[in-house]
Amino acid sequence: MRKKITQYLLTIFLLFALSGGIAITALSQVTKDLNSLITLHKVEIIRQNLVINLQTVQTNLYTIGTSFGPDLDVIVDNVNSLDKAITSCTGCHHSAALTKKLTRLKKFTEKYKEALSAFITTTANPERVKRLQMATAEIGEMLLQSTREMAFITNQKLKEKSATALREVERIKWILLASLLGIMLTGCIIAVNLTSEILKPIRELSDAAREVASGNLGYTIDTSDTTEFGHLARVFNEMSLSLKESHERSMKYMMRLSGLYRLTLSFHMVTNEQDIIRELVFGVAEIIKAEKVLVFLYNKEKDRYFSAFPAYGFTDGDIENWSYEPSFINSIYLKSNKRSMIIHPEDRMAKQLLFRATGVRNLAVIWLKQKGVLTGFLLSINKEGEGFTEEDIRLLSIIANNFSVAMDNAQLYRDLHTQMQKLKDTQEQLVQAAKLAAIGELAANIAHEINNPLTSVLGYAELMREEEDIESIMRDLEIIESESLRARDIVQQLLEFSRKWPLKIGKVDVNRLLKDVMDLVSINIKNSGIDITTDFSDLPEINADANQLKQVFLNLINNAIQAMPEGGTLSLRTAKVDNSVIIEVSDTGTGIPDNVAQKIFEPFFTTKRDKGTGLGLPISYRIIKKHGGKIEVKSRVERGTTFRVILPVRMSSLQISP
Amino acid sequence: MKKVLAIAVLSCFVLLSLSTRTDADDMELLIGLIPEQNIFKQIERYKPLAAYLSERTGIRVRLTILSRYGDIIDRFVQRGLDGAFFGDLTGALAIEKLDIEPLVRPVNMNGSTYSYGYIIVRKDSGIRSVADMKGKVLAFVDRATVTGYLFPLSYFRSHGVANLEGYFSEYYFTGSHDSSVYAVLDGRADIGCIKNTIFNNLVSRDPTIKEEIRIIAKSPLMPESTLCLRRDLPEGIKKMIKEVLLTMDRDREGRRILAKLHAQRFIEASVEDFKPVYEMLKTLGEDIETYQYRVR
Amino acid sequence: MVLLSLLAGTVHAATKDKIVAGVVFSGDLPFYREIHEELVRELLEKGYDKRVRFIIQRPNPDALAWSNAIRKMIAYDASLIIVYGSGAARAALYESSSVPIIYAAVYEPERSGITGKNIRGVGYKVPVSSIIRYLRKTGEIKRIGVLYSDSEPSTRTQYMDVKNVCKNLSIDVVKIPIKRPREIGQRLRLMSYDSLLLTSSALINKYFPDYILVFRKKPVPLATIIKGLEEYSVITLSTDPRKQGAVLARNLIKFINNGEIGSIENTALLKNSLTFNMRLAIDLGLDIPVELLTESDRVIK
Repeated sequence: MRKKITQYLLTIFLLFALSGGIAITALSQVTKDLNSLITLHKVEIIRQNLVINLQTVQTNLYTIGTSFGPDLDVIVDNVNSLDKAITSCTGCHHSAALTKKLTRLKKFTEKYKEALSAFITTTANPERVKRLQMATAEIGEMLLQSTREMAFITNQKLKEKSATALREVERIKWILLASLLGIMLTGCIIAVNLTSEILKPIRELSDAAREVASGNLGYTIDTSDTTEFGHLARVFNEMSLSLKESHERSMKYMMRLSGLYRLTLSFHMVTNEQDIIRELVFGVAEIIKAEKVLVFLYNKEKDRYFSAFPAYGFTDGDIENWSYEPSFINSIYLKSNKRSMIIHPEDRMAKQLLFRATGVRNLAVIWLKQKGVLTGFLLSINKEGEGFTEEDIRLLSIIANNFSVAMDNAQLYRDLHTQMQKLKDTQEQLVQAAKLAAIGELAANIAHEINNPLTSVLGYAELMREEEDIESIMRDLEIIESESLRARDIVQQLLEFSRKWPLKIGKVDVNRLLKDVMDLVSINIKNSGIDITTDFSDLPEINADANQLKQVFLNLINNAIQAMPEGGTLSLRTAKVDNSVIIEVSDTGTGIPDNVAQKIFEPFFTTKRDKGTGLGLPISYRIIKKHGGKIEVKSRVERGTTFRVILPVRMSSLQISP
Repeated sequence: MKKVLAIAVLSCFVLLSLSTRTDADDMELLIGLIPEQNIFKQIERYKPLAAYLSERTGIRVRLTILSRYGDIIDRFVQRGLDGAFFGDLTGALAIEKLDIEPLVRPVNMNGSTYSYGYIIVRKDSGIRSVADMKGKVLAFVDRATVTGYLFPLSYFRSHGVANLEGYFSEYYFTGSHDSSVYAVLDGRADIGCIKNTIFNNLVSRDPTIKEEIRIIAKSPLMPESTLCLRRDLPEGIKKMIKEVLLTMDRDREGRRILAKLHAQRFIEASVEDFKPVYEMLKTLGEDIETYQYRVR
Repeated sequence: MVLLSLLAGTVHAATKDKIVAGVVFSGDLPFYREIHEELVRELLEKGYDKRVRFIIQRPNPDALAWSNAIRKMIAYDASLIIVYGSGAARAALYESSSVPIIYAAVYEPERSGITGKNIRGVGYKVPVSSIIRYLRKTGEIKRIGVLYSDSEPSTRTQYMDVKNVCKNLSIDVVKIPIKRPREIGQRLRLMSYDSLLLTSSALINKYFPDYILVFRKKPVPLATIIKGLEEYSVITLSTDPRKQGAVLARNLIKFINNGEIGSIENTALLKNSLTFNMRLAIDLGLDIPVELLTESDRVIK
């Protein structure tokens, strides 16, 4: 207790020291403020001197019929002290306006000095001396002007600083008062603490009693006290512990039930079989408190019961390739009257079942059934304590039922997922079609594309009016011509794109058609280092517009050629699948990155900056769409691209026109 | 609080007035400076030297600027100066007309103890010799300088130009050395003259100047900034001052002050140093006693 | 010598017939007027005023107008053509008639291509380096815009000189060719520069004041090479038009006396005068270099 009192006194002393420190810092702050105030006053005096000096110098300048006498030294001193004053000012003020004024003042002073020097030292050329005199006087006037302006700011500053200093003193008064109050307060706190030190054991005991009453059974008082207080505490502790024990027993049942609930819940929260099995074995191990839990499931294909991963208390290696003949399991199943059971470890059946496990003390077999059919079983080994009870078997059977349902659900969920994926793929195709219909955006693009050449044309036309020589006029005309042609090309392509082509349907031999197209492009390929391979299957004639299809393949083949500027292989392949004809155009070119592949069917998207119009593929897309077909693209960067066109042999009569 | 403030302000006044009080009864030397381009910078450069001398000798040394080159001899007497830092021609004139003696002169940072004059033209003017200068415009500096007047005059004379008026279409005085260079650079004069130190200084600030200027001639070496003191000062005082100045490069403080003056150290000066000036005056047929250095 | 030939001139003056001299200005600038006034004054003083009849043309500063004016002179059977400035000088040279040409106020005639058997005159040189040097003393300069006209070859020479000077000073030179007056406003608005130099172009010097409002929107230090725009220009380094006029008079008298254009020597006046507009410099917030105060022949306050 004495030690404690010493500590308290020390604390009070430290507090005193602290508040003393605060007071000293605050006081030194005030002193600093006062110092800067004094400096300001000094500066103001210097400034006033400066104005007087400047006026003297200026008067001297104007009346200089004779020359500077001893006054020159005074002038030099004055101007130099003016300079110093300004330099010292720049060091302490920080308001932007003032700093700017000061910099200006300093600059002018420098100029004044230079001009004055030049005036004083120039010995010849009276005309120049006169000119210098005037210029110097001019700068001097400006200097005076600036100095007067500054007086206002300085006064302002002076007032501000005085006010700040006064405020600071006021503040310190409060700080001192506050620290005094603080010490008093601390004293009070210490007094209160000392009293509570004595009352503590009594309060502890009554607190503990309240604790137990409020339900915290088994709460004990930590004490090594040998007084009556200590004895009382020990008796209290015994009582509390026995209360706790009886409480715990009733809690155990509750725990099991809630464990079951928890496990069932988690079965339905996971969708993957392995996770369900994990939840099962770990849940059972937790609820039953078994050392090892293992599940076997019937494998339809292999017609055997295999251990399922994971298992509790086994490593994955332990249970690998652990399987049973169905006939063996069925014999046990029937022997058990199709009911889950406890088996003695020395039983023959148990030994057969557990040929891989050692040190088995007790064992329960729980059958897993789906819709009344045996699908597997669960082995629960070495329950903590006395072994399995009938109650455990009942609990495990309920869990087993829940497990079966969960497994069933997982299977269903997987099937659903596959279906969803298929649906999504179909939707993507639909989105593609919808995109092309977004004419609104298209219109903006068109306007932009055509506006560029038009602007050039207008610009050069205007320029031509001002040109004087025929050469420039001809050059401008050439540019106008080429820009107009560019505009016409864009318009023509657009017409092509937006036209509602009536399809001229006839019988088309696709292989024949491809050969025709190849004839058209073969000239372009010559000497370009591109090999051509064809793999044509026998195809039925299809119903289609031969000319429009030609345009599509021409477009695809041209794209393929342009994708292989360094040469490569162009492959054409045809095949018949079900009721469709498939045509593939592949290149070994640069390929299309994924982000680009999504856009290639959009109008005005082009990677051929200077050549393409960005309409080739969208047009192709529309033609194939009209034929009731599909166009797909598969590409790998630096490997090549394959366009696959799928056309129905017989067109459906219901074609949605785009 | 207001009281504290008042006391603070008051005490500050007292301090200020204390520091400006002068010791009138002590021995004092008044040394003149011949004005350079910027007299304010000049006096700031020389002040530490004066302080150093005061401290080491116990004699109060005060500096004063002498306005306008040509007035110097008159001013020296009028103002009761004890000495001054003289230039080439002013030094020669002062030695001749006043009772003074040369004491010390500085060694420049590059080790030279002299300066000299240039005659310059624009490189693209096509002027290469005096013969090319006929009918051109000539800019002198001032009649009271060797490098800016006497040297070019003697140079032209030795190259056969007897009469300036007849040979040049116009000549005038710029009044300062650097003005002479600018006049040539701008084409306001065809021929100019300048002291080498000032020319080098200009070139170091703007190297393009050197590329546009051609140097036609270089003058003999001339003494620079020589400190001369009245001959009738007590011998002991002169000796003490000389001793301090000659040895000031041996301590750190002294070297710092010398560096401000762009000097390595001081060396002893003598009347002999001014011989080239006298010679030049002689070749021009001017009598040092009657030489009219005032322009006007 | 000169005196002698002048005396000879006066003797002949009364006896010979009047010659017709066509005078073509490159533009109606005070600068050129001053040259011409000095020419007339000198002739009067030397007693030659009765020997010459002047036909004066002050065409708009463009190539077509100059050519027209020159052709008129040739059609009028002028004995010689006097041109002021490089624009008119080039136009006269291009007509390649046999009429002799005397020019005045042409910057660096040789380098600007104003040479030929039939053409003589007095030119001038203004050191562009000095203008740049003073401009740099008024503040930092990184991009100087140079306004010149391609149809006045001397102004192109001036542009080349600026480029040459700025090469070693890490100053970018912004080339601003002007063909028509309204381009002055357009270019001043569009180009980026932190200082400007107006070459001696008649077109630019005549029409610059019309676009002063555009210039004031982006005020920068401006320098000029010929007198006349001191009001707007911080630095003007110019040859003296009176001296040009005086030499021109001397050349003309020589021609009157012997009718030989070849007897006239090409000369160039190198002496310039410097004007500093201190008021403008202060308004622009420029540094006021003491060199400009001391060196300027005229300081505007």
